[in-house]
Amino acid sequence: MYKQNKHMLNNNKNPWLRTVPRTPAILLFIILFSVVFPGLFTDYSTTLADLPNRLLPPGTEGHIFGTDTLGRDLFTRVLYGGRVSLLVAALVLVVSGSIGLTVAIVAGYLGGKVDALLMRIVDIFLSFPPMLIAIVFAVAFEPGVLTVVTAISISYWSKFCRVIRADVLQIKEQEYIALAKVAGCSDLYIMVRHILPNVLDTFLVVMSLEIGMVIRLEATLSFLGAGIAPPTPSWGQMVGAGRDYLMNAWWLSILPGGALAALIFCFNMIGDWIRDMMDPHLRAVLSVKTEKKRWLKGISTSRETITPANTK
Amino acid sequence: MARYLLKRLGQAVLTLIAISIIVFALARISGDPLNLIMPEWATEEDFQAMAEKLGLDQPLYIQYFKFMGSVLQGDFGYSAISRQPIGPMFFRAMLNSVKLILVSFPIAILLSLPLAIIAATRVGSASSKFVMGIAIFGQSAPSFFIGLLLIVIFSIYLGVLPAARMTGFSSYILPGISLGLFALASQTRILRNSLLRVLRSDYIKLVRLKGAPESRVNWRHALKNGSLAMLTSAGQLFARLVVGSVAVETVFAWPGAGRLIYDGIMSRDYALIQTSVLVICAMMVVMNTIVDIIYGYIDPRIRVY
Repeated sequence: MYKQNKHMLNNNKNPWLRTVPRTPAILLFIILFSVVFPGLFTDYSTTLADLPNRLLPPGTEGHIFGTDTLGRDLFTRVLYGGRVSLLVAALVLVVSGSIGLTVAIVAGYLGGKVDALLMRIVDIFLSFPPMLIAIVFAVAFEPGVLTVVTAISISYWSKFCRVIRADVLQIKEQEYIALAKVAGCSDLYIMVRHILPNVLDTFLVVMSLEIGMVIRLEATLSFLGAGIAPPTPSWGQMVGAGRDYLMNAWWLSILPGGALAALIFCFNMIGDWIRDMMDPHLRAVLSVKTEKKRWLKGISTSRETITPANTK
Repeated sequence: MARYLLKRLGQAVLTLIAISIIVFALARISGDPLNLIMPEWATEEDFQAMAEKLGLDQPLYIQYFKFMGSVLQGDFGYSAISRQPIGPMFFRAMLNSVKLILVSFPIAILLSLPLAIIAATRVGSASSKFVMGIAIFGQSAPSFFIGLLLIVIFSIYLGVLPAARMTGFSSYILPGISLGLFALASQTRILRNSLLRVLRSDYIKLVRLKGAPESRVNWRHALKNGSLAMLTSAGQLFARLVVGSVAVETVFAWPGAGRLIYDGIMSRDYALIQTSVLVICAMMVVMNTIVDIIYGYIDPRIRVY
């Protein structure tokens, strides 16, 4: 039976790597690589107009994705537009993540009145709908990267704060914290040196789960004209601009939109995987030992069939 | 329970005040609002006269209280661009939005039940993978993209469904799908995870031992306990649907509150945006509060918090 089932084992040394969702990871790598190094894939300019060649459909010679209303190659614009979307998402995560982390650690560790007060504030910010606040910002100020990042961060830091504070509360009870206090470490030192590193894995999980939503939000805002403004290409904005030509040139909207869907899909899948990896219950389920047992019994070891019941 | 109720209500009020302050402050921070409504040839004295007339020369907090006073009385001011009173305009539009939401949201929630059951009971099969694939896609793809894709496929190429405006029964279909797909996807995933846990528990085994057919096990017993997580997320999703309708209504030219907000963005009509955002936020806060109170009633552990 061993020899018959040997082909089912994913022959990989690293136990974690075995469970990586292959398709999203590869797709994500391709997308990120081509967005960060567009020069390797295309020579066209994103802004130079080429009016004789406007509105060519995808598949025409030299233009895989076709051209837009000014004759600019759509594939190039999609590649460069991806950079802006990713940049905004990264900035939002950095800003709101730092604020959320700081507030969460301070509130969770210090406890008492400070905690209660800060949590009230967090609850209030948590109930702000990010998109509406961002729209208000965009109409009050000029649309642009700074406006969008500020607007989204104002609502998003509270999401981070909630989850991380729960984690801080758990860590606070550990023995080494008590030891540190007895040894005379100041509160600040304990917060930075002991709590912060241990909170980072939860932070990573929340970040990878939320990055999809942040990208989606920025795209919707740009689509509505409340996000990134032309001429900077951003996927959401390209979809919005292409709306007028939907009858004749569907590719102007659908292709950048498809890129968006693909990117968010990859991030969501990877985020799910990271969350499953970090979850201590599921870690047992997805570990090498259980996989080997199932494989020996002849049960499929692919990830979709794993449930807590059949991994005993 | 009473303490929890009071606490929750107080929080709701505080949130509303905070949002109104932010919305109000942003208008003033971003520059003199007079610049938006005064014509170019206006002189200094004209500005001064207009400021006095509109009450804009008074200290900020007085302006704020006057603004909130009139809002609470139902007077929402006038749109700077169209010079129409905002109140009636907004509420008419809200009615249309509600019609769309009332169609898409219940269908999304109801449809997620059988889908989640399929995904949870036939783990690893093709049907389960298909369902989860739809769920993941529905959560990833932005709703405006889904809307445009549906328009291209069904209105432009197949010509079977209308792509714009509120015309009749068939005009609800495409916008309804675009709006509800995200909710459907989220609910299916949450419910499926919840069901997976519930279906392995002991009392489900007991029900099976008692001889109940599998369908009753799934629908009556498993679902009841698995649906708690779904209820809270359903409440939040409903609130988000109102916000999500901005994009969908724009795509389908649906005459709803979302489209009104879009028009406000395009024409930089701050008064309109201000009112719309305030009212929608207020609705969301109220809905979240109701959901939390119901949740506190169902699950006594929450009240300790």
